[in-house]
Amino acid sequence: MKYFTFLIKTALKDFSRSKIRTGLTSLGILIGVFSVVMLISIGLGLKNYITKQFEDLGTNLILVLPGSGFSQGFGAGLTGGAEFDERDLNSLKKIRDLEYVVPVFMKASDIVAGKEEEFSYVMGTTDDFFGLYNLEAEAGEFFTKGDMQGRSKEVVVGRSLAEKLFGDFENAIGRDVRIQNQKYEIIGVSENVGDEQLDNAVLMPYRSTYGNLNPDKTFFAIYVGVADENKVTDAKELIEKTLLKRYEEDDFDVSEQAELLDTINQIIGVINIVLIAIGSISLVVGGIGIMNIMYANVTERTKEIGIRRAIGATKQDVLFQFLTESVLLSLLGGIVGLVLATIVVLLVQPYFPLGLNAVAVGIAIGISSAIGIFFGVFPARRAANLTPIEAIRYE
Amino acid sequence: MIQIEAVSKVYKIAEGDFYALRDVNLTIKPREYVGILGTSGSGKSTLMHIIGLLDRPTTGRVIISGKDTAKLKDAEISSLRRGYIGFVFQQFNLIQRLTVLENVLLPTQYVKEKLDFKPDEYARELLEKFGIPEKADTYPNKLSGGQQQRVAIARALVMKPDIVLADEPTGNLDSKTGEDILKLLGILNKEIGVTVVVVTHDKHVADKTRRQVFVRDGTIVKKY
Repeated sequence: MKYFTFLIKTALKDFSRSKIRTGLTSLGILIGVFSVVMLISIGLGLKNYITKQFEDLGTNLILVLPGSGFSQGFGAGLTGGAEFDERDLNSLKKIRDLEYVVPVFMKASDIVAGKEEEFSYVMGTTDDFFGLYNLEAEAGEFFTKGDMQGRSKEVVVGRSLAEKLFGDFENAIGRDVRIQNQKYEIIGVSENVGDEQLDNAVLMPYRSTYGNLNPDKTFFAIYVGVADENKVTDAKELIEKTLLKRYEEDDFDVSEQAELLDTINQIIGVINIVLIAIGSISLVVGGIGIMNIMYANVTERTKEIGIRRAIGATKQDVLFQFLTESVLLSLLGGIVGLVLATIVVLLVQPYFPLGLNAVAVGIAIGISSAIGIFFGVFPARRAANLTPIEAIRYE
Repeated sequence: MIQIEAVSKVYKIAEGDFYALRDVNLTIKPREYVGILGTSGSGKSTLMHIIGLLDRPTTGRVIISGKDTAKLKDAEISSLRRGYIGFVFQQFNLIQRLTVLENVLLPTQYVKEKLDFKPDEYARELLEKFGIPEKADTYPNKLSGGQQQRVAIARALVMKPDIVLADEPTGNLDSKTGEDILKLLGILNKEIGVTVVVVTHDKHVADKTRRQVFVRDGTIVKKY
């Protein structure tokens, strides 16, 4: 212990001799660790966010999407294939054990309220959609089963959108919005759930979209809830069987929520690895900076190495001394980079889902120590292999 | 006791082999005060480096305390150097960014096992004995040449070695300070019983020792 304290003290003493050089050398690692931790945080945050969104939907959910959906992994598209309509809704409703069948139509459009205008999403669905997303009315009320039959002009808006259009969300109740020249009355404001789309959406009964918004009377997706969680797989097979009567196998995709989540996580995982690999380039550059400085250090301190060897330091002592210096240099950059990244994560967290956990911290500390050892070992070996007499004569 | 048996040190140069030392035999007994005298390039410093285990001979044997050093590994040689030998150099060779006390204590930092004395106390005692106790926390560049050489001697003694090797210890000092340093080395030999070997080109310095060895062209030409 006393020996390691001595090594660390010696290293710190050397750093204090050339503070600017120490700072600049550590800067490379600082930037590298900062970028890697930030990228891990973004990946982790995104993963947590998506997982939470899916969990909120419950584990008994089945998603029916056109084309090959998500299930074929990275690169699969959401477009093309079947265009679902009310006929499909009616066929699916006949399947036993289903709790609900919720169509979802979605279209981006300008939403106009007086002089205010926002570009956002219009969603056509059923009253079950609110239960599916655990949405609560912040003001007014949601449309009900009774509103599903006709083409009601009553809509619900997300709180964020309501605030953008009317200042205070409570002012939105009873006011009108114009969407593609059609007038709709706001009867309710749904609470914010942290989903950018939902918090800014205009929700209306799906039949109300028929016309200008949805002339083909089709849906983007159908969400199916199964009453019993244990019957999800059976229900999935029945849904596929039903849809195959009308469509080809490749025209639609039926996914259990868990499968979808796995696929999305896989995609995020791949993106993360690529991003971290790019971020790691700066770590390697930082490591080379450390190596360069350590070589310069060995040359500058050759005489000192000779003196230390003459008074009894072994080759191993010299090796450890220079390794300690390079590891500390690297760790210094790593810890400062980690602290800065943590501050940024905490500052950004209210606006963007970023996550930081012990693994990310461990990786940051581990990587910076490993860089210190890897890039420090060559200069340290050069120092250790100097013969005492050659070193002591060096001027 | 140090025994140098048929030691030669050969360097390869463009013209062929250059013998810095040729077939040297020398025995230094405990508590001796020996001067190795020779002109520049005579091989006296090479001889000191080989005695001090800073360099290895090309042929021949160096036996220290009964151990043939040729058979020892680097760690064992370092350990022997640390515990048995103390060095004093012409250039003082203090580490400038360490304080006087830290310089003196430096050899003790490399000892992995527990010492049978308190190094800090002993280092301060040595500085006291050498008349520079108030300089313990000073950096070497604030000291005079004589004071720096005293610090170097204190560092050489802190591990309580059996032998102190001094290479031109007065070479960078004025004559008065040089006299003081030689007197100090004499006292160490006489009162503490440390073997002292002084390497010098100066006959006057060698005269202060009790036995002189003359080196010329890599060989010992005269012993008293």
